[in-house]
Amino acid sequence: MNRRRMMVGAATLSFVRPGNAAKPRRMKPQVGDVLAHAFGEQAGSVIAAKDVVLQPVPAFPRDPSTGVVRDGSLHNQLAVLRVPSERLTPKAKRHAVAAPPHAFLVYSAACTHTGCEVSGWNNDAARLVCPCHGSEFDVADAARVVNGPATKPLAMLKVEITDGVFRVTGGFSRRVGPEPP
Amino acid sequence: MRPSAFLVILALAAASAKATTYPAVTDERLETPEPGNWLMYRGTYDSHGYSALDTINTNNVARLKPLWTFSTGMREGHQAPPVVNDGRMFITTPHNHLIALDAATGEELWRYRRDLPEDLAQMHPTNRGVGLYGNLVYMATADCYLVALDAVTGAVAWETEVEDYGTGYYMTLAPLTAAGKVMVGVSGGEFGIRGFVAALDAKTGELAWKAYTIPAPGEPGSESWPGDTWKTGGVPVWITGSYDPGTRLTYWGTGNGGPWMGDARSGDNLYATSVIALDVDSGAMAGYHQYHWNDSWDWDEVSAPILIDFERAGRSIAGLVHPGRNGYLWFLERSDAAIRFIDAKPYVKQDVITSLDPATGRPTYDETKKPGIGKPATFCPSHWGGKDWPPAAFSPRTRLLYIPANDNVCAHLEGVEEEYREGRTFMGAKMETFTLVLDPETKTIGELQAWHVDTFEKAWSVAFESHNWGPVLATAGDLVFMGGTSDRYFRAFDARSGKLLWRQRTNSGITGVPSSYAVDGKQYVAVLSGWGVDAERQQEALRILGRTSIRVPQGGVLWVFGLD
Repeated sequence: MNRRRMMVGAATLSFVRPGNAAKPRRMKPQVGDVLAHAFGEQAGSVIAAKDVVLQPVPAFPRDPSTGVVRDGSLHNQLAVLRVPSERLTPKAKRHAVAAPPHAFLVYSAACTHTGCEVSGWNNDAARLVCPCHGSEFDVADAARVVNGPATKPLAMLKVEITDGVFRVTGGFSRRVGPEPP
Repeated sequence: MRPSAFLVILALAAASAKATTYPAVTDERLETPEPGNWLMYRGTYDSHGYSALDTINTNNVARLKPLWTFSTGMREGHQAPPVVNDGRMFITTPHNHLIALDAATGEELWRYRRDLPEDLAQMHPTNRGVGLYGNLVYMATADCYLVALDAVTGAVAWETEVEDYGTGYYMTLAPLTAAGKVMVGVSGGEFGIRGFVAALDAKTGELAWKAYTIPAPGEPGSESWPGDTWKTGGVPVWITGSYDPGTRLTYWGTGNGGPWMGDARSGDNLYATSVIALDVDSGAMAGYHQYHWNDSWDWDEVSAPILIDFERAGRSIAGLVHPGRNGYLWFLERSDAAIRFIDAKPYVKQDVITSLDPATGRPTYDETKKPGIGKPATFCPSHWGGKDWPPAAFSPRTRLLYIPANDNVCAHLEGVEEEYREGRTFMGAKMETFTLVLDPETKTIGELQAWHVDTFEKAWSVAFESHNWGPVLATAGDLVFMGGTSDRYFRAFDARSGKLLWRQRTNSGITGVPSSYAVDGKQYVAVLSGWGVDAERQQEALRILGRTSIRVPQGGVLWVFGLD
């Protein structure tokens, strides 16, 4: 852990309210959290960057000190992706972790249309697909809406890779899920 | 006394004067509503969607004009009928706002805004209206509560959690009220729920009974679900049931099995895609008819059957009539117990069902048209069906059933293996490769069809370039009202000929259920315009195929029409 991030982490901790701390599973991603597998046999275990290859990997943030996985809200669910660097648009690059010849991207899995889990994947076109209403998001272009009723891109979460795992370095790039009615 | 305080007291007196005029909604009134009131989802317990008012009729409908409008300020699918009791109107919106209006002037009386959880995922952001009983008005919510409010003040009398929204349950239907109970069904057929209809005490909100649509092991029908599939088999109920006070039986349509692919749950899967008869007092199932077994096409048969007495071969039959999402028009016989198949035939292009057993109505399938896990198939009608949820209407004057149909639309779908995760989508369908399939020779999709219930013949049909999601209203003025097309029109047709007599372009597309009512002897026709949900989803699927280039604008507006 580098010195700068330690300071950021400490600053964030000081703002955590007791109410939130009482529900660590529902807390939003915190700076310093690692990313853990969301589902399946590996659920809760930390994702190694080398294991993110073709398919998006569903993830939740995990508190590295307590081991608590923040799986208490769909708004914490993430899709971790690896994309060839040359395909990324400048907008996507701003939130990507460079690992030439690839780059890693972490998107919110909560659809901006009506809040469904964006669980589908179109491998040929590299699009995340929402099964509820068919909204499709181009992962190489900061989750720009390609098809469907959504009008806003998915939120991106800023991460870095240290010791081969993903660590949260900031908040979401925009509102998670749909606009309030 | 300060003048301002005096004014406040005057205002309160005026409000309370209004309050005392609210007539309680009794069983007697619900069983035979006054023609000027629209007290429930389809106007009457038999679900005819028919108004006995005739001041607006074929002779003068050309002069019909918008009298006032009301903007709800909400996006997404507005599907609720304006429900009216003695000059008070109640409408609901997506995200569960409930608005009370003066039905003659449009003055807002009160508004309830449901505070929905931030992380609530809404696959179907809509609400289909209120139920009335006593002095309360009821709304079923997206976070799966039943809320009861004072009809005059809008104050919450009680609210009861029907299920935990975190486990995939939600509600969109208008509650059915009868015999001291408020009945609701649950949505969640795409989220691995186990569906049910629940009845709550109308006064207290306490649970009276709960009738699951999937039998537990050992119960009749449980043999039609392999292993543990019954626990997550779907079978939601998301449209208001019909009710026969004579037998005290409520009739509900049930939805798709979950996940979507039939081979994920081999068997008939009772009581999916069926009509079920539930005793209003106990919730006990008196009978059922399954329209199609082992559903693999997402053909929810949730529209409640319409209670119509029809003629067959000289015999008068107490019937249940259902234009199915599976593309067949079904005629059944009801009684105080069993439901009996009479006859059925397709009303749109249907290529899955090859024949029906003449005695039971059980269909035989062309297995090449049945998608499965890893087995893509193209089938007609599409998963949105010959008719989705928008209700058909029946006029006892013309003996015609008016069906808002979609014809010539097929779908291509493939199933995938899916692991159950609590509260998450559990569809088991590869939506990435889903597409509609259209016959390039056919230029129209949406239709309004009129079928004679005694001769079982189609009397007339009107076709539209657009697909159609328009609920239908029939009136004693021999008019049929319907919106539903992406060109945003609300239309009136001659009920006997299908001739277009009037139309009005509105703000958005109309998927609202129209109603008609009277205040001080003046007849009104009201409808919510506000496109969204599956109408929009199908529009997008057609846009991808190049059939349309427009995206229908959103935003809910109530339109109220009348003669000058």
